[in-house]
Amino acid sequence: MSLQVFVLLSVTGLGLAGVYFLIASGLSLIFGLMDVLNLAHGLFFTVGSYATWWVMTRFGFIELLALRFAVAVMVAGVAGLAVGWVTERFFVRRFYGDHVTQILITLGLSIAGVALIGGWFSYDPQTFPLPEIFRRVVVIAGARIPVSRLLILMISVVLLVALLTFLRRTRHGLIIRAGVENRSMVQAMGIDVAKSFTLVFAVGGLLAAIGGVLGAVFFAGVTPEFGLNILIFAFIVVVIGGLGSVEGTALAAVLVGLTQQFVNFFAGAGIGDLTVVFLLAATLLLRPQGLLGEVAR
Amino acid sequence: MEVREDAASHAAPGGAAGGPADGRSAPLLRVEGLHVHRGEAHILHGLDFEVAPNQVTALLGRNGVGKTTTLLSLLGLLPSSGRIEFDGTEIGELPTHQRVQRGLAYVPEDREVFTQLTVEENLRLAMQWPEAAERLPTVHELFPELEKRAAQKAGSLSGGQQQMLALGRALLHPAKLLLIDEPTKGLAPIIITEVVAALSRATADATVLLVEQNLRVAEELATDAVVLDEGQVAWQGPMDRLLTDESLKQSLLGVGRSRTDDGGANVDRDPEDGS
Repeated sequence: MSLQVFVLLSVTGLGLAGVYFLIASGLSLIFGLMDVLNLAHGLFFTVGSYATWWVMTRFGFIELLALRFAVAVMVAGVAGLAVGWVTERFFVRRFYGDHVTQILITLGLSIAGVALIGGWFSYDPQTFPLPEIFRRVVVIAGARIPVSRLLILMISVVLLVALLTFLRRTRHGLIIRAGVENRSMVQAMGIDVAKSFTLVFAVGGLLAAIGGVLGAVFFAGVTPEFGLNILIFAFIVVVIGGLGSVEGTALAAVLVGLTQQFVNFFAGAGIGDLTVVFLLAATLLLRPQGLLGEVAR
Repeated sequence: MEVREDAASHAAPGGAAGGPADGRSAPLLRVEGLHVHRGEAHILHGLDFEVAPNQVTALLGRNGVGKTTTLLSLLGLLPSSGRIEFDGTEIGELPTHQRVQRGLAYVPEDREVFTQLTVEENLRLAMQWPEAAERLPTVHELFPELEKRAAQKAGSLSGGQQQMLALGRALLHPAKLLLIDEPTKGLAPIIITEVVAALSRATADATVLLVEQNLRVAEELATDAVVLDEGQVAWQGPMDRLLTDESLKQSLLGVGRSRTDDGGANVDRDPEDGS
């Protein structure tokens, strides 16, 4: 393997890892704190990607594409935040503890979301213009790397740091971390942990939607099933990383992203996806709590 | 089951001699007809008892009689039926956090410190009360280890240190009633002495409902006792009355058949039970 191929696959794999991390981190926190398997999380991702497509194709009055893209990121973030909040407040809240109903409702939302977006816009893949800087390439160790990959990686790292700062430096973050470990004890300290549930859903929606923006750039387009397809890998990342562990999710996202890219390149398209499933099976057999997860109480 | 009690100082809730009329203050906590089911099992069969203010009341009984279940149901961590009147208000329908905001504080049986958080973060989580900042120096004075190990993850502390953290966390709350579940469970004798000394100081003017298997510890800390048997109150009265009556002790607690390493008599353990 030449150095150029290694660098190109590594950067691409890390970019993909960034997309996985953004959708998986919210999913992991939601499950860790609330025991909710949120099958609607892919919808948050799709909402983000379609918000990007919509702004980039309909906001022609903003001529500067880089500025239009910045607006798209903001619109996607707000849309993800809102969809996350609405999902918790109006659909999930009344069914805490009822896992079967939660699964049915979030799966229903996910399917309805695909139908709504497909029916409204189109089921066909949609593309959108990207800022000129995204189309540039830089040469690193002889490899021609698209700048878009580096930007995706950079934005993911910035959001990882922001999320960790929120969790470690704010009182809400402290309550969420404690709640992921032992929700009953947080309540027994007089803290209304349910208030954090809505916040975690909203933050999860925001991160997944930004993941949707970056995913749309990474895969150069959007489809209504976009989030649903990537949700499978997000679940794999969550389980490998350890439920409720943001650091574990980041580590697992890197592992899965790199494995997919390298194995797909060397063993053939599709084999990488299969290898990731083997990684999941190995984790469940050897370390069921995940790389950085704790054994549940 | 017939409830026996020391009629000279206590009476069953709602009884003719209960409440302020018997010369004691009105109870801070009054429990009436408390029933708890866990799955198919009926754990508490209509508990009636009171906790007087500014007293340490020991909740005693063999393993598996429902002592921990009683504390969990008082906190709302287990569903229950019956009446729980705390500080003159019925709290049985309130969610856990609101019961705690009304003045309950809890030290759980297995400490349940947040192992992934540091000692300082565990205490900071409990700093939601306006009085907590004033109380923190007292907590550090009681348990100097907590200040020394502020940056250490709670999961890496010894059992005794975790117990100190669990107690310190609860003491930051200006609670009217401390619910403490087996504070000496699993601790080495030397650590038990340290924890009991700290508890003795910390609870000097407080109202406490204490679950404790080690009778010597209960004797040192408690003034009153409520003894449970088969999910019901079997006896309630002053602690010294229970301790000086050997036949009562034997029949209610089965003590005398086992001794702990530090010489403290343990309430008889039924191997088939689990709290």
